[in-house]
Amino acid sequence: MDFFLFVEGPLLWIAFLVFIIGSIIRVSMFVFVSTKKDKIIYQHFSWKYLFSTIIRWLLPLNKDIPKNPIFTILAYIFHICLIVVPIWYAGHITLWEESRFEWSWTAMPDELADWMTLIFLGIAIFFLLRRIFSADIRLISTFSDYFLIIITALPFLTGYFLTNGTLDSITFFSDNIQLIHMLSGELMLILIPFTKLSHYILFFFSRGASGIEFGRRGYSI
Amino acid sequence: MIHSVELFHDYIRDGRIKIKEKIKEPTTVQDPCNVVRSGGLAEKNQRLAQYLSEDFRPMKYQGNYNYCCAGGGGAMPIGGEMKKHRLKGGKVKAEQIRETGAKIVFVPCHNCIDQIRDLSKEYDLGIKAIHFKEAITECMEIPEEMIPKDDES
Amino acid sequence: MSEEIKPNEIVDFLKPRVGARFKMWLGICAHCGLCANTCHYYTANEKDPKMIPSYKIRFLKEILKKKGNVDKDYLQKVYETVYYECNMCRRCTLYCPFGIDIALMISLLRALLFSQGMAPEGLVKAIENYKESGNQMAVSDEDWVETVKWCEEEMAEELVGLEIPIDKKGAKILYTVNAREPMFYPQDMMEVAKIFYVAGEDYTYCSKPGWDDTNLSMFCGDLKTSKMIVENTFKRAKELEVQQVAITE
Ligand code: SF4
Ligand code: SF4
Repeated sequence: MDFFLFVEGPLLWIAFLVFIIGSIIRVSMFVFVSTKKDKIIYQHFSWKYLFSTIIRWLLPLNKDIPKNPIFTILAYIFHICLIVVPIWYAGHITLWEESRFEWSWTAMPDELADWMTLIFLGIAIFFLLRRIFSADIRLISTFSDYFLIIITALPFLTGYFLTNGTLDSITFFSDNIQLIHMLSGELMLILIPFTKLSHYILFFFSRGASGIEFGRRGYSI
Repeated sequence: MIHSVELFHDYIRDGRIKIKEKIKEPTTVQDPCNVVRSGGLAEKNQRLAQYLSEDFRPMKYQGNYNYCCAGGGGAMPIGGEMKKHRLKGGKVKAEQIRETGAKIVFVPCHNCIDQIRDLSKEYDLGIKAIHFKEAITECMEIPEEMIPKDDES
Repeated sequence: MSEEIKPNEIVDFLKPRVGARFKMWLGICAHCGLCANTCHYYTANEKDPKMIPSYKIRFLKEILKKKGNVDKDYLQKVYETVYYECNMCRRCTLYCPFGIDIALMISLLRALLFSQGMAPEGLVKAIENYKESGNQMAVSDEDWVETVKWCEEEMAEELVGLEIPIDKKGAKILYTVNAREPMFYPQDMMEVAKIFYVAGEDYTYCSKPGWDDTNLSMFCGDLKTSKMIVENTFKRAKELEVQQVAITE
């Protein structure tokens, strides 16, 4: 299984490197260009407004909660699962322990990981249906919006199949599900810097920029 | 740069202008985008309205999060071609004002006041839109020595 | 207008103006639709999906992607959206999880249209007035001073000793008005004179261009005129050595 070894080794490295270096490039491009073209941010720079706006929106303290409670709360849960499960899932931590880094940290219970995965997938399906059936969202959606929901959900779906052996009765899947799981995860990592998924890091810069913009008018958003 | 809402608010707060009699009819106040959302005067704007009225009724979303009257961004001075659209878009503001049940709306902006007067006609709100200065001149106490004497004789 | 639209002109115009924030915003807008019901145009038009703030700025993304290869009809569509469907009120920004400033991008689109000679007549006329007289209504300096004097006379009958200072050097505040006031609402100027007098404020008007605090050219992205208007006022403020410039309601 040469391909398996490639996916498990070099491709994983590539995916992580693209993810990390790509993110760094996105951020430094923003910082570099903004010092030239968006001087206003730096003229009125203020840590106070920068942090207050980021905290308000990282924690559910903002005005969107009362306005669109269902969607916003689901979006929060979606993002929590998306971050927590891949990092604290025991199976992943074992891989880190076995890697050349030999990093290790406390794992979450497998059962919790299972549940969070299911919740995550449920919300992903809801988002997808919402995009398809709500006239509003359909109009503003582009191909990549649909595509990226699927890309983000795939690692979770395949991960669930892998750990629970759901599809093991089908020989193709029982042989290859681990490979598919790794591939889907790597694909997602690689796509992050090039798509709107980059909002995982640009969020902080976008909020910061707008927080400062409104901060200079005397209040925090 | 200082906006007159802030000036007037400070006069009353500091006692440089004393209010003789507050407005009795229910009032509310518009938050013009350039004064409040982009001007940061949300609090002073509302407090000034409260200084001047006995029965102040805030709009839903009063303050930074208030709706635009749909007359902003140049919509008023563009004139005829825009009229249809701005009256339509102003429906939200009209409903907001109706909800408060106010009879007088303070509007500290020339753009908004023209728009809100139009809205009042269009949606039959039966309100009076006035600037703060109008209300202040009516309500303030005028020092003895400034009142012309010859009238009394 | 029948002239051709030159894509490279559009690109040259946009290039220095599309900053890092714009690029980022166009890239990360999640098309989540949270901004939809924040816009009064959306609510007032029976939740018409076309009024979603995020949808209104698709033009900027498209024009950049097409490298300016658009035709007049397309720009006409942009025109209708950026003028008839947005007041640049920024309410949507407060509700967007990323704080995406739709209004800022709308104003860039307006400026682009202006550079292509498309702007509402009402604003174009005001701009001509600004360039000619320094105020939007083309009130001449003499008429302006006369109006102030007339207000003073009227008010002096109501309050003993009332004066309206013009060009008073070293006053604390330079008070500026909306040019519609001397034209249509002199009442406003009288009221404010009363308030200032009772409050004992040390203020002044100025007699030369700069007394109009409106800036309509900003709304269609004519930054040159816009700058001139602001500079006028600051020049007066400097000449009169005032501490602050106050603007009317
Ligand atoms: S709320 Fe913000 S991220 Fe969501 S669609 Fe609107 S502009 Fe885009
Ligand atoms: S800035 Fe424009 S799009 Fe946003 S809420 Fe105001 S009018 Fe609507």
